[in-house]
Amino acid sequence: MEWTLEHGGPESARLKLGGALTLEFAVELREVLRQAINTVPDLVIELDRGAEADLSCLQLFCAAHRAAFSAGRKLALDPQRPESFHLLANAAGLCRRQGCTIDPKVRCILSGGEA
Amino acid sequence: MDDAQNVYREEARELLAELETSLLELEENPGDRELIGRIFRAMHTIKGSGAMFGFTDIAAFTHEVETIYDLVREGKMAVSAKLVNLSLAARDQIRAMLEAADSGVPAEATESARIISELTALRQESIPEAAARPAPAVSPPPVAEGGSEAVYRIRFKPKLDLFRSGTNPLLLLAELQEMGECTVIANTERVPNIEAIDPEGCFIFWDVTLTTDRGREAIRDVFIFVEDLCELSIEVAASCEMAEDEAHKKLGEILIERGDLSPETLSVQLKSQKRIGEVLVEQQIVSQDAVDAALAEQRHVKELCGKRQKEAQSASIRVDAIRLDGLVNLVGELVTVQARLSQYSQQSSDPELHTIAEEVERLTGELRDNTMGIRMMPIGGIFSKFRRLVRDLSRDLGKEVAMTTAGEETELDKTVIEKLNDPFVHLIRNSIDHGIEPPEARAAKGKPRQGVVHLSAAHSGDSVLIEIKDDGAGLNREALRRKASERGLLSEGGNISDSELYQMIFAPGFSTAASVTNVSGRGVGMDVVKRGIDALRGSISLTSEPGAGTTIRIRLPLTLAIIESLLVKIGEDGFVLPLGAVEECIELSRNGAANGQARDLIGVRGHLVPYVSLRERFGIVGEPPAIEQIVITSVNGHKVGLVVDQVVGQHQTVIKTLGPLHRQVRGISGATILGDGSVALIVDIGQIIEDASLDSF
Repeated sequence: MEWTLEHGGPESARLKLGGALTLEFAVELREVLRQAINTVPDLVIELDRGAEADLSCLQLFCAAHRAAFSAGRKLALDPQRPESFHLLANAAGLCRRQGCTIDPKVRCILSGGEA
Repeated sequence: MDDAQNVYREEARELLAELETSLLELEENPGDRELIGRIFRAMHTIKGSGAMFGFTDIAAFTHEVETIYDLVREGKMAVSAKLVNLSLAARDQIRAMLEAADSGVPAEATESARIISELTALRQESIPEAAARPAPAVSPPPVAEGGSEAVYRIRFKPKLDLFRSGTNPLLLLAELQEMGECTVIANTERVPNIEAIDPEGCFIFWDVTLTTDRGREAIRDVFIFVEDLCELSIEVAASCEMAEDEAHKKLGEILIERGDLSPETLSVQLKSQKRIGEVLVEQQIVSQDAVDAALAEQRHVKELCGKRQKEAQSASIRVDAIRLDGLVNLVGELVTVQARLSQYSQQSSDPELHTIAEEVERLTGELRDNTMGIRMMPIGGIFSKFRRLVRDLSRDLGKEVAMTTAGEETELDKTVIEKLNDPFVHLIRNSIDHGIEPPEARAAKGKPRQGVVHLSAAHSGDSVLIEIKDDGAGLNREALRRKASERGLLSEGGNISDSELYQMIFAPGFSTAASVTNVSGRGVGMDVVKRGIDALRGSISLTSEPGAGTTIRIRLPLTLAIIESLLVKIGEDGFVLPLGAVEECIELSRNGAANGQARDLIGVRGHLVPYVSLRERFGIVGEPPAIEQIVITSVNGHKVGLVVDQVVGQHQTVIKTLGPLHRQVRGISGATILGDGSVALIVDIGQIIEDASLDSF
């Protein structure tokens, strides 16, 4: 797993993730996401074209979205994500057309929503 | 071309229509696996049957496209706008090849090569490793194990340790997807926030709706190695054996059955006027995921029932339309002879003849209704054809337009449906070209960027009401008024209602478009539409609201062959008036006409209704009786009385078209043969009203 946090200003940053975003690195990914959310009020997660994700990664994005929403922070997934990511979310039944379990008015982060 | 090839051509056309609809839906829902499956199956059938019946070029070409959809189906390739565009082009090319086989002129081979080469390039872009492999041989769908098809409701709730056991739940879900039409909804309710989550735990659970004939045990087998690591429930939501009303459940009922909602909460929430799904999610009683899963189940059950109905329908035979038309003509002749028999029996005192005549009348009525029923077709077929038109036209014009439909199941006579195509094309083109504004203009007005063209149909008495509604800019009253004045249809400063003004849009050459495009604006479209609808004995009207859009209403008779009518007499001549337009009959005395009911107006329950003497209108010589009859008719809300000598009564009218010499006579739309063998003319009430309105300007 590879990651960098690029600040765009005092309030915003892009968290670039690449490599294996899989169960093997789930503990590390959780920590990276947790710290990024706690330090950056407006965060965009950018996935590298070659990033390889699995279900544990999607679940962590979902958990991060919940944390950001309850803390009143912004979190979004860059829409330019690898096709494999979209296929994974779709196969897992995570591509929603509307709503999110945290709040029906909020769109699911995996389907282009933000907290 | 032999019979089997003809059958193939017809079936292939139906499949191509289905393919087009599915592709357009896929463009909007690229992740919909059911649609992908439907597209794949349509291509698979076109290819397989094509090879069997000697259409080898179609089979070879379709195989290439089908190969791509096999990859999409397996999740190895994503649906993109480019793929949909190429697939639509491929669909058009298959149709061209089909028509070429008919005409004997070969289809453009370069177009096939272009599509294949672009599809191959797209495959290489998407999955480079797949491109290196030869196209996989397409395997047939899994063979049923003999069980009947059912919709299964599966809840797969893994324990936290599932990931740690090395199990990938996606493989299990993929296995389910191989078993039939499958909708997977992940439920994220249990996922904690990032502070509390165990990153290696599995918190997501799944509601899967699966339509399959493989049986419960086969489904359970998928989970055989994770039984200890999950909570699993597999229930039959609907099966082929269930009665239809038992299978169709409301959203609330499904949620209760799934254990997501209690009956008490449901009855409280049902008191709100909103959709129950929205209410339950808003009140946070049920998660969006649970509602989505229940909706998926509802859709699966509906599709299963639809499939069942289709299978029932397929227990039928294909009949040449010409033979069917021949049957309808014969029934028409029989109705005429039966009318003669009834008339003859009334003049006779033979009780046996009375009984036979009544029996023949009853049987002829049933035969007529059954025969007409055979020719009825749902209007949805023609609606779906326009999806492509809306898509292509809106792209050409740089507009964003969606098409929605309602009442697709409404049935109309086959001949009426066939003749609706051209008028509809004109109306939809006008709506998109002149009605719907460009996205920027809509955004500036605070409207959604995407405009909507809504087509709907519904039965209304003995006719069908079709609406074409857009949410565009609406008609420009001032421009219409100016144009009407220029064309001498309206005097300067003349007072005219909006509905009368809008009706002028149907006059020949009437167009307010500032520019003529290749789509519309030449002022010929609406004139053609009006003539097309008139020829179907229908009527057309429109309403419009500036800034909000225009609605065009078309009223059409259910059938063109036999109508219920009112037989009237003027002198010795018989005339029939379509019964659907008749409201009531009242008397008109000669004294009344000369005094209080002057100026061709009569008071009917507090309203003044204009009337037209058909004797004068058709130039029939002779003295009218002292007391005439006024038949009050209504077309598009316009009431007009038609004065006749005598109202004879209700009549089954078998419509005969007029010869070319009389076809242009205004006020007459056809003829019929009466029981005594004499001919009665069918009055075109719409034209009579129109002419009367023009005379009054």
